Amino acid sequence: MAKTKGRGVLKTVEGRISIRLDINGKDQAWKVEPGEYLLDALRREGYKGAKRGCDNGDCGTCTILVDGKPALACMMFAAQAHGRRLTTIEGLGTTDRPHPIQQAFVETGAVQCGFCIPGMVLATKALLDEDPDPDEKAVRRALDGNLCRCTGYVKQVEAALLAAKKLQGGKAS
Amino acid sequence: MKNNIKQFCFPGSAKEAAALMNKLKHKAVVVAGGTRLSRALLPSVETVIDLADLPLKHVKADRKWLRIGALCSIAELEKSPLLAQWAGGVIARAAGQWSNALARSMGTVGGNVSRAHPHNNLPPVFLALDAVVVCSDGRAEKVLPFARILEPAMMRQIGTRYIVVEVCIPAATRTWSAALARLAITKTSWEAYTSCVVAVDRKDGSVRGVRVVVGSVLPRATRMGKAEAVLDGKPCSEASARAAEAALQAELQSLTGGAQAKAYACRVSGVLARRCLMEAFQG
Repeated sequence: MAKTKGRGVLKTVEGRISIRLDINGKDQAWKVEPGEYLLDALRREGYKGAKRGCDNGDCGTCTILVDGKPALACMMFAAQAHGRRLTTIEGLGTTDRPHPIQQAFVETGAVQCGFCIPGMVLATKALLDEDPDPDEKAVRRALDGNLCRCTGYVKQVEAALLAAKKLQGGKAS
Repeated sequence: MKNNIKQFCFPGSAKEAAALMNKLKHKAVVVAGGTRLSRALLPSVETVIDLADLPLKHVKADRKWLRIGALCSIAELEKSPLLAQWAGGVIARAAGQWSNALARSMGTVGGNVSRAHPHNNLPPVFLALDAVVVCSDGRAEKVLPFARILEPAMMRQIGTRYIVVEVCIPAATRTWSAALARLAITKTSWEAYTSCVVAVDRKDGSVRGVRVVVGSVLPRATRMGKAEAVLDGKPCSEASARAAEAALQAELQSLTGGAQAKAYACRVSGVLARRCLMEAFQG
């Protein structure tokens, strides 16, 4: 096999591939099955905030951030995360100390069954990292890949706009 | 879970990736954005070649060309300040109307081009802007007119023999006036019923050169030669746009074999072309 200047070659050893990745700021070494999807690996390793919805890249419930960009964990092989920086909902805040975006979702009543919310929160984070002061149109565009079957896509938009205000106003908890 | 995969390779150059792909042939598959391919692997695939490390994420212009790297995400095209200024921003607008935010974040130009589904937004735009595609087979690079890439024989070789390196658009198109329109369930529905892209090179209120491309209706994005011929040298007016509309409808009906199921799409395509032309004439 030719030598690469990229991340190299990952070979299967005894049915597993060893990968190293950064999840929520912590270096991790995982052994994954060669054809395992990132969503399966994340959930097995305890990152259950990434939800399994359609398993086909259509619903956005498995949204995570890969190198800061929103990505669908159900459409990536776990091995593709080798050497990448991942952010899951577990990396944003805790029940005691929620991230301002999470706090905004609670305050606006944007959460009903909650299944889609981790994806929505992370999609919102990706938007606000890039555009700290979005208008409603920008928020709707940023969230148009995250489906919600409970609500009418009103409260989440309000939540994202409130989160932007919170983050800009330094009211982060 | 695909248990037939044995290794993942992350090459650092297109040449290396293409050489690896040619060496492993049907036992390898290349993945870039992975919006579709990762869920549709053939059982023969033992090696996944992930192109994410290739230095092909550029959008830049030189004296001759606008160069768009194959690894640029659709979202990056949408947000590119350079593309917002190019040919009336038609590339950025087409990118912005493709699918949803997550798909735009993951999907790449190379994937959109090499899996040139008739509904994809970028192929009609690239065709209308006289783009060429740079491909590599690991030994040499090949420059192909965009229309050639869309031919079934060539399409089969992209991702099996060749890797798309970049899409290049002639610098002269920078000042062209262009417009696009599509009919779909929503503004960003991937599966448009029909779409149309028009690019016009104007001089003194007349059409010096024009490209009219229809997507979605035919198996691949197609230039409408008769509509273009009707416009050549004519004034940039509503009468010219209406003449082109009629010519396009007749040509498209002929290309679809007069199929009843396509009759409405042909009519709507003509209307979209007229609207695009009016927008481009005024742009």
